[in-house]
Amino acid sequence: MKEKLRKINDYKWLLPKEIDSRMRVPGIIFVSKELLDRTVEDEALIQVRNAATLPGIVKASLAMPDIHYGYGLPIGGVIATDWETGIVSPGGVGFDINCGVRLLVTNLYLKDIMDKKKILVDALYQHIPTGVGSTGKLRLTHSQEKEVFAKGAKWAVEKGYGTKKDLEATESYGSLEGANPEKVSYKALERGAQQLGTLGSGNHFLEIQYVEEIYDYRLAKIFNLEKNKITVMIHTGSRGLGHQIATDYLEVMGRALRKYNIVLPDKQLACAPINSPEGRDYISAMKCAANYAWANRQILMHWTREAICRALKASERDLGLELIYDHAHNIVKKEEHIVDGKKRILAVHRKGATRAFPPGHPELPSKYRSIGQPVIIPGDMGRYSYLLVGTEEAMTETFGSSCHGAGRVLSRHKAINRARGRSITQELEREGIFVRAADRKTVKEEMPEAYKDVSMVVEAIVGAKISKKVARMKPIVVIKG
Amino acid sequence: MKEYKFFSTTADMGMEVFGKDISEIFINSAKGMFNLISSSKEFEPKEEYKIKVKGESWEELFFKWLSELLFYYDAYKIYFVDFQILKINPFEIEAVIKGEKIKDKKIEREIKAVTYHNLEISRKNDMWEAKVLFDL
Repeated sequence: MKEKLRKINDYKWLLPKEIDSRMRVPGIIFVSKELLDRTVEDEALIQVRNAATLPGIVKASLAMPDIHYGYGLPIGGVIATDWETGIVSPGGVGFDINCGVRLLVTNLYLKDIMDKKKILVDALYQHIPTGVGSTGKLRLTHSQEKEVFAKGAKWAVEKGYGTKKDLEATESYGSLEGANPEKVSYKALERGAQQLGTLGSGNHFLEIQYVEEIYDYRLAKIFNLEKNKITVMIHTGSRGLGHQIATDYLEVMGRALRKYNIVLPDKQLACAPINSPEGRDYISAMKCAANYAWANRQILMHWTREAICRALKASERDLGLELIYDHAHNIVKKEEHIVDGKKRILAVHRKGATRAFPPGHPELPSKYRSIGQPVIIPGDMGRYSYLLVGTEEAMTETFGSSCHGAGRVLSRHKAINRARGRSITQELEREGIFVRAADRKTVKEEMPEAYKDVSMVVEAIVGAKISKKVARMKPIVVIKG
Repeated sequence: MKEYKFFSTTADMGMEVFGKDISEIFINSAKGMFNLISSSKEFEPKEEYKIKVKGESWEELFFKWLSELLFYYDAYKIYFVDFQILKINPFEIEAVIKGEKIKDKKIEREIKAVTYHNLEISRKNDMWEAKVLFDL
């Protein structure tokens, strides 16, 4: 499939529509030559092609520089379908609905906590439930869960987890309208009941970091970031609730394919017209999971604040711990975009991709209106993560979307083999990074070299002018599930 | 004969399953999935559930069977070790599954979901094979 790509410029490649008669639009991959040669699998490009066959797809089947082989849509895939005539596909969102990331800035500097990393890692590990192999600290009834579905992060704030100010720094204010709890199955409710306020495992994490590099001082100042400032990053999603909703609707959509005579190359892309009972029900249920995920990150952030304050024997007021931003990177949203000079209402599916709205966009909170949406790009636990902002080019090129992370380069098996006979935890500690995880296997599977260098991804996204660099943060304390 | 074999994609993991008949495919896939969650041998068949899953083909039934087991695991935190099939045809499976609450036992990995991606069930001569990819 790679040989079929045509170079448009150094960071943009075309997968022509002519290569397959089923494609309704071309594929466009935003990637550098180096990433293309070294990290993009043929299977991932086949998935870009498959997505281009979806009914109602607009403009192109897009992929961000962190594209890799997933199921259905590739990770790093972005597709937009017409809200009136197009389809919605749970496989275009993924199982972890509203998996996302949030970034906080503190009043602390690296020197303030250099000798307190051990205390911090222990405090966080004790206070933050990973939920792996056990459950969280909260137990909700189904009716309480339904309140979470309807209100999202606002529910958490009403219950005393954080403040209203946090909501202003959250995508969609942490709550999508139109979430209908009646469209969520009993099974999903059962899975969600004990998992609110849990981190989960795999690539989910909580990190304390410091600002290693500033690229844009003007923007960094607006975020209150400067060199050596301490930041906190949380990466998790809607947990078992979202996974069950996605599983339930994959089955619904499988039947819908037959009902609406939709033929697809991959069943994992199963979809239904947005304007159908199946399509509307999925969107309503997906919103429930998205809102649950925002509540989840809000609660985890509150406990993180508590744990850090306790460990450092200081108040939240002293430490700052202000939320810079929270955004999803697995979601489908109703958005207005200009396509071929015309305003259109679209269902923008982002699977392993981040919304990256430009300066001036009406959906941005007032404090970021003039600079563009913060785009948080987590890397691996040994190297660094980035803060970027959205640009006008993102709006014209990618439906206001950017990349979402490093992406694996080694499979889990290969990572474990590579880590054999080594203690990754000790290796990281020697570099000044304190890691705690529920299981040693997780640390091996998630070791830094299992991921690509996220700076390559960021270089490509910046090269494509889809986002602008603000700062780079290095981890010093890491909690994994 | 090997009951199952794991394979890796860059981001996720999958499993090839082998059996003399379709019942073995369903049983071995269940064993394999729980082995991916934890390779610990400490779990015992202490609690019992009877489950029934319906589908419209072997593939759909297989997807729903594994998804159902994952649901019981994730919602009630029970690791299953024993699977007895009472009834099986392409449209329905009924089984008794036995396992134990996880509590503080060792869990190595979280499976988010069973995927439909490249899911296959095939029969080659006298052997059955299946292939499934998990989202981790």
